[in-house]
Amino acid sequence: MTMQFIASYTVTASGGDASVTFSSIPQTFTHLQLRIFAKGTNTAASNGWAWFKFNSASSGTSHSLWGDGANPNVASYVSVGSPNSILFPRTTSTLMGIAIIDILDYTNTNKNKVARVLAGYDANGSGTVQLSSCTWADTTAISSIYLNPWDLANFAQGSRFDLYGITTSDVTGA
Amino acid sequence: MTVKRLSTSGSSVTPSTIYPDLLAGYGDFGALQRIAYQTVTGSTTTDVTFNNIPQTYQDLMLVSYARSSDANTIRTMYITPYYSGIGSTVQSDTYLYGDGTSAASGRHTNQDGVFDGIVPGASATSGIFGVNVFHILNYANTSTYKTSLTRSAADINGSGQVRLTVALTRGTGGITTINCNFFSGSVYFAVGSTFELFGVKASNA
Repeated sequence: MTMQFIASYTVTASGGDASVTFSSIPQTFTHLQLRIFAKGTNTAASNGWAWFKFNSASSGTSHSLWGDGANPNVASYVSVGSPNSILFPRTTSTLMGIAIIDILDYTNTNKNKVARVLAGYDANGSGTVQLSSCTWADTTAISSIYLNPWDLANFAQGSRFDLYGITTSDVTGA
Repeated sequence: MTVKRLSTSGSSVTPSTIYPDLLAGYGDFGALQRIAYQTVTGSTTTDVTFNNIPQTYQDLMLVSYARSSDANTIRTMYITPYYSGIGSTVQSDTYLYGDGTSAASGRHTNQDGVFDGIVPGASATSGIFGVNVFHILNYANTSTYKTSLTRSAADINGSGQVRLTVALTRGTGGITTINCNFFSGSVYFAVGSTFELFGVKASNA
């Protein structure tokens, strides 16, 4: 197995970015992993949801399990255009949230696409840690990933998104 | 360069493998590269520490397969990132876990270490180890606090725990050290416990 870097994006605008898109994703890997270091610009609350979709899909479903330091919580968004699945912090401090999204068998045209999200942030007295799934009932091979900051307003300056491809065979000349 | 595996008779066996560090544009081992590896060999090992971590990767990942001498079935292990001069009580965490009966969430604030690992203790069946996969993103940047995420699990055939932990290290310096311990002078890692530190590059060069 090898992990190969595909692309990276860092938010540089002082007001943040309203979305992030990876397009023309190579079809040569077995799996994808997206590693995110981010927060939102809307400081009206301590955190907020973001969501993502593949290609031009219009309806997806997510289920989330998260802990908030006091209780376990669950939420679902079923067959909606914005299936929220990642909680990021919304703050003016130097605090950032992280998320690792795994998308398996993304080029397979016989399977609907499912992603697993591990994410969280801690603010020394508040924060969340979560596990989510997100399904898009579409068998099209994934060639683009769109991320929306939903009630974060924008992804804040300094937010970073790194996309990797994972192969299940050695890099081999055989 | 192509390296061919030989059969017992000495003839080459296909497929042959071209190691990725010899492929133009793919770098050493792609984006995921092993930095260091430690195996516990002494019976009184209280700490496993990775020092002088290169500041050249985008993220770090630490994979541990460990067990402790603690008398209980399950013991929390600390996986704590820091750098020289960071100060004390700058660590905090939020966790979610299930133990086969119920789920719960909790947190720690203003700590010296991060409670983010799970390992079996001495009363667990011999040979059972716990798995912890620790990620810290953008660890070398010098403008933000550091956030880490850990997946932990130990199953003892009738008991056990699975846990997700997010932790904050309140310091803006680049992380140069990761320490694994029990914050106890009398709890040790079991012989055979392993710790492997990887760097995740934002390039293939």
